[in-house]
Amino acid sequence: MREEETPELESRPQSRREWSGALRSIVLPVGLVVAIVGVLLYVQSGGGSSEDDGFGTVALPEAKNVTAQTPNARDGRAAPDFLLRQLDGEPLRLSDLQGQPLIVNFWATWCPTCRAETPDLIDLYEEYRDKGVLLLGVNLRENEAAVSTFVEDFGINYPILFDRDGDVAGTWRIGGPNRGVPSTYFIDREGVVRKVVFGTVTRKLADEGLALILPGGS
Amino acid sequence: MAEASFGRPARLRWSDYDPLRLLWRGLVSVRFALGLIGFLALASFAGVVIPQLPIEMRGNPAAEAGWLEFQRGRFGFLTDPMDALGFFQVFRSLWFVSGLALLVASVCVCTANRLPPIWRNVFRPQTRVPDEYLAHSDASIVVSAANAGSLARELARKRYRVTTAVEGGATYVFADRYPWAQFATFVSHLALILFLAGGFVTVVTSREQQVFVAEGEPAYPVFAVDDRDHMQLYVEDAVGRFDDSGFPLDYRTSLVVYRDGQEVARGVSTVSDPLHYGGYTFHQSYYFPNGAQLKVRDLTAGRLVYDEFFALTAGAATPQIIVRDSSGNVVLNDAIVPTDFIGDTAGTGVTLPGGRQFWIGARPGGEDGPWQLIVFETGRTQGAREVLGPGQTLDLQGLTLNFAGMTEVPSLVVKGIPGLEDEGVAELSQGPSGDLLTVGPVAGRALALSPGEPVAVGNYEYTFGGRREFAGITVRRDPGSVFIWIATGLFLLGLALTFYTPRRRLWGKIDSGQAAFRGLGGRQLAIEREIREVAARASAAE
Repeated sequence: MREEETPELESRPQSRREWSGALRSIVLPVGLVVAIVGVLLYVQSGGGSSEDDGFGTVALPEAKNVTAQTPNARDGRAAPDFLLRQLDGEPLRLSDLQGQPLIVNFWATWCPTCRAETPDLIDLYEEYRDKGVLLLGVNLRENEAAVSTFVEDFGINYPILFDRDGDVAGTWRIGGPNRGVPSTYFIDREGVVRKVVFGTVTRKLADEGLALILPGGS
Repeated sequence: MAEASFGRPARLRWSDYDPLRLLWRGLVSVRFALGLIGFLALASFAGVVIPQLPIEMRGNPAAEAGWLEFQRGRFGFLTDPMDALGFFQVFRSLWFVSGLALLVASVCVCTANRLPPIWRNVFRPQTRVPDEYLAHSDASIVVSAANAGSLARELARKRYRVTTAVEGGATYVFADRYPWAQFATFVSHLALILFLAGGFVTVVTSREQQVFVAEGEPAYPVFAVDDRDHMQLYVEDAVGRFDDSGFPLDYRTSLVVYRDGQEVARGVSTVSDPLHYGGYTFHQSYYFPNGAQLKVRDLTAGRLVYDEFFALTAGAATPQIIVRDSSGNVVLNDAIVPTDFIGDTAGTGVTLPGGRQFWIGARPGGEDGPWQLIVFETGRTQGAREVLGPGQTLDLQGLTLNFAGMTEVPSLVVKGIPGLEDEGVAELSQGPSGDLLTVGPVAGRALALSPGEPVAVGNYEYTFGGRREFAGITVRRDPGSVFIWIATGLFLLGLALTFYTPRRRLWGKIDSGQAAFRGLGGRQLAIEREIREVAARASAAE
């Protein structure tokens, strides 16, 4: 028997720590765990990205931006441009409507405040359409059939657009009491936002907004 | 003079200052790991004791500010510093998450660094030991064993992998059973890492929202409209089943999930079997039977101006009456839902069997006195008004009317209904032909609406869309739960391997009809018993 052999055996080899260099001792084990967690998270999240069908927020042509500032849905700034599909399937681009006073109302059928103000918006549009005002209802991420039924039942008389993935709502940073809706923007003939209303558009607020976007007031 | 001689301290090497090596030393230190666990335990305790910002308020600056203002009443001047340090969101705070990440790093670095010695021990085990090791009187087991071959066979029968070597007339035996069980420690450590990672992932990425939706109500939003995961839930049918005592047996809801206008999932959700979509589960968590849909049309404009769903969550006191015929048979047993008011009495017209018509109402007795039932036969103006207390009976010539007491029907204070005077009350009850919704006051009276039967008052037409049951749905996504399930499985596997298949190694030397053994793996008594059993079987087999 060789003399250098130890009389006791290593009964718990797992209690030993061995430095094997930074890569093997730290980077690899930590990296492996991070990679496993990352892969699991990626798989859980569904991985993919949304498709771009051309609809949503689009760049406002410089020639149509009279403010010379980046478009922003705030008072005094050019309204961010969008291209959205209408209820009848036809596309509509906001900047194409310049020259006309606009009211852009973000809404949803699930929003009680939106439902409550819909009859008033219908009356408002009925009253001001002859003065050149165009009211646009931008529906947020809802099923077309449900929206169509709502429009028919309530007799909505203004164009309805679909913000399919909430892209435009995000760009416009809508913000009201019911998860961002209703949010209403009064835009003048040059495409500049003149008044923003988060929540119900009361008659008083509507009159204030119209006074700002109609030539010579309401 | 001779110079004093001092032991020279060991020279520090450059590698001792290597920051990665210093980090490694910290990460493999048991003290460091225990300190970290203690810190996280204290932090968790703080997270349980100190009020935490509710999940639904996260990301809503206005709600967060309001909640913080409320906490100011409790924590005073400490509120702002506590908020800045993350004490109101302990489990999402940077310091807590960093501590958790450091613990994960510590465990995985420790685990990784144990691998080489264990790997060697499993795949290149020491098969020979010095005679001094076997001669150790406390630990060695001496048995009679003339035949090394039969001893080895018996060990093999016990699932040992046996290697023998003959040297100098003696036979050296090494028997190894379940060597791979030594890796169980890695399985357990991996489980621990995944538990921690699961907790981390849950804290950082889990989402939950409760929604309360009525059957047929417009698809209800889940998450904000500008949220990447914004969805809408449509309840086709909500069902609650109860036993005779009213104990709930089953809640189930037929759900449709919409995303960006498209139907993406459809199915039935129950308490224990949720609907799944896109990593989210849709659990039935609540059921409420007393909902109603009311539609109002503007008759002039010819369009709908109101379409709402109520959950009638309050209760309205109504009198319960029992009418019997001359034979004592019950001909009516019902709650009287008021549709009219006469002074302080709320009541309604009731046609009793036989065609006689009465107005029956109730009014508070005043000063905590019992309710009073007011009864008079319509068309008669004198001597017909009767006042009954609870339990009293009135003779109606051929019929008896008993005021059984007050009961409750589902009700709700309502506002904003076209034609309604400011605010009013809606009540849901059972009428002669099924569900009955009473809403009022509209033009000074309560409307009694049966499902699908429009009632026109003034410029408006009111339609009770029918009873609508509500479903409470919990929408939840917890990527961490996958980690926790895997970790639980691994943890149980590690325990099973450790306790049911422990590694055991035996070293023996057989010489002159005697065998001396020593073993590792388990208690000394168990090792000794096993070796003696094997030796006895080997002797019997010879």
